[in-house]
Amino acid sequence: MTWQGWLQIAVFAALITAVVKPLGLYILRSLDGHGRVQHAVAPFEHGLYRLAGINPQEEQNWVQYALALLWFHLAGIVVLYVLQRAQNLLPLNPQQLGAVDPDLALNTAVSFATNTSWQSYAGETTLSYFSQMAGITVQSFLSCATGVVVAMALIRGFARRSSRTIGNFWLDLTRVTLYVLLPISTVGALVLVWQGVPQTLGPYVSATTLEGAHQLLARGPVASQEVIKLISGDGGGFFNANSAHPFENPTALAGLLEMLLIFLIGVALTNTFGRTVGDQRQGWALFAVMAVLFVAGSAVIYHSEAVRNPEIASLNIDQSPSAQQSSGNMEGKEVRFGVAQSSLFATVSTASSDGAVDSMHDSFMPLSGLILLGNMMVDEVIVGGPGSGLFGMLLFVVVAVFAAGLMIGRTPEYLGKKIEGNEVKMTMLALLCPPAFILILAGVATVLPAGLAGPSNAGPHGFSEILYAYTSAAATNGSAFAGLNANTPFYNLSLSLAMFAGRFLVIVPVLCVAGLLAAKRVVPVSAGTLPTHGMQFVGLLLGTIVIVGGLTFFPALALGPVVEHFTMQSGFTY
Amino acid sequence: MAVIEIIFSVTNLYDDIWFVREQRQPDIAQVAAVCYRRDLKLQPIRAHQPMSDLLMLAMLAAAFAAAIAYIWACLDMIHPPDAAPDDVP
Repeated sequence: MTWQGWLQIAVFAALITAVVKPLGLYILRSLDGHGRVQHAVAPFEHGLYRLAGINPQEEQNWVQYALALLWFHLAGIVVLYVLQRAQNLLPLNPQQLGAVDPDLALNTAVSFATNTSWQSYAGETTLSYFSQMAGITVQSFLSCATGVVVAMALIRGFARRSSRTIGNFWLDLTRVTLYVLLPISTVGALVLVWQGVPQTLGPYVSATTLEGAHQLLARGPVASQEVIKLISGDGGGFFNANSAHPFENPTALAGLLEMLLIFLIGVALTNTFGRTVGDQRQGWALFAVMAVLFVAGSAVIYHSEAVRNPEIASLNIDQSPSAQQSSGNMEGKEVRFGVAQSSLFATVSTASSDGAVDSMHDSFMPLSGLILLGNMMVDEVIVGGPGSGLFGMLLFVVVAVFAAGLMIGRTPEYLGKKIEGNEVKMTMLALLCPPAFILILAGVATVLPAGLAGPSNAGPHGFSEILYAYTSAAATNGSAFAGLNANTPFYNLSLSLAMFAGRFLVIVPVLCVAGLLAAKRVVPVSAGTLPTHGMQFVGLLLGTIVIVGGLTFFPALALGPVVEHFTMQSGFTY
Repeated sequence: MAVIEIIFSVTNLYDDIWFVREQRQPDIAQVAAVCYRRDLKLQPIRAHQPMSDLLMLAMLAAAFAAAIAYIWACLDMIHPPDAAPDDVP
């Protein structure tokens, strides 16, 4: 480990903390429609409502909100599916790529509509520019906006009193897209173009190498897709190598910017939450929990990657840091990024629901793999996706105050709202859904021949590849451990199921909790009220997240990265 | 080496790398041979017949029908509303 490596992590943490407050306020104003920009663009916004036949003043209860969301995404999946199947007939296909196979098209459509962006395909050899722009990029915007609006609906549940409604899905979706995602994406894309990311509709370029071979350099409208890929928590790369590709992530500055974009909205929403419920300290408490888990994960991964790989050391290869090389485990990492930046990027990618990668997670040390899996297994509450991280964290808050209520023999409360049986039932339904699909589907894949045909490695590492795939899918992360050939009907369809369940079967009970809470009155604060803005509550919430996540997945982790770590120490690898 | 690295980074050759690795310890010449043999016009390796659009859309419809039924299942689970009045501390 080097001081420069720790400095990278510290600078990133400081920069991301600095944006929490201003962006949190901006998001709140965007959703309320009270900012200067919003006033200026309001005629256009209302024109969109008139065009779509929507009454923005009409509020929805949680069932109406959930139905609107489901129908909207069903339409999105069908459109993206048709675009891929018919891309050979559509324009902007300079490489004349053929139609995508049905099972792969379904997997990709579900993947991007659920904000997962699991990619069983390689963008540059599978999708036309039209499919990338009108299909993938559009869904990146809309699925991200959906996460934010669900979080806002839950926040309103805590903030409103005796209300039957939780907002208007169409209004929220439009405002998040227009006022939050589009401006950030536009500015971010221009910055990336400045850094060297291509933005062109021209065909791939043919080059002749020094050996005289012909090489085809893929390019396209990359910058515009790259930014929304990052801020949306989507992570689906234009190229197969994702952010390890020099055309997606050309410089060190671009790398830092990409990590900041991944966390941007997720962290800012904690402040939006605090402002909406009238106590910013509540938001900072949630941010503190995220920060502790993130810093701990980053430190463990950096340490694990920076220490010498015993297998390489046994070959008498020098792994110490010097002016010529980064230290530690460099397999699967870009030399230009090194160990520290790659470790940080991997942590950011899995702690959020983004799933972009600038190094191959399959080549990380087993303990690092454990943390990467753990980041996703705790329901991605360590910042998480835009919105989905916050509503996941609030679900854990419900469990934490419920547990605290049981300990002191008092009806649990949070922000003056009593947490009763119905809320706890729906919370547990939302929290148990992803683990159920991860563990059951990973178990099925490890016994069926179709599942066993996927991993490239035997033993615990092969199991980790399977477990990582389903964890990534159900947690709507989308990053790949690599090493798993997932473009088969079995994996395409089973991963589609995991992504669908991990997104929509969680959102429905979350909206239900929002509706239940909005209908409640507020209980005045008394001497017996548990303070939820101090270090005591931060500790309680941290314990709840770690224990619930740990107990649920520990047996599976023991079969994968844990046993691999110990066998590696004995000189045995897979 | 540099050329091979660039080829790796701009094309879908990861499957090929893993494929070669499965055959035990590839050396760089093997990997390079795979690169040139494929002539960079790569499509995902498929070893099965394509499935039908109808089947895919039917599965999608079934999944959404289940999700909508799930809303009503949730409604059923929270019925009747909590008996405890909200304003009792």
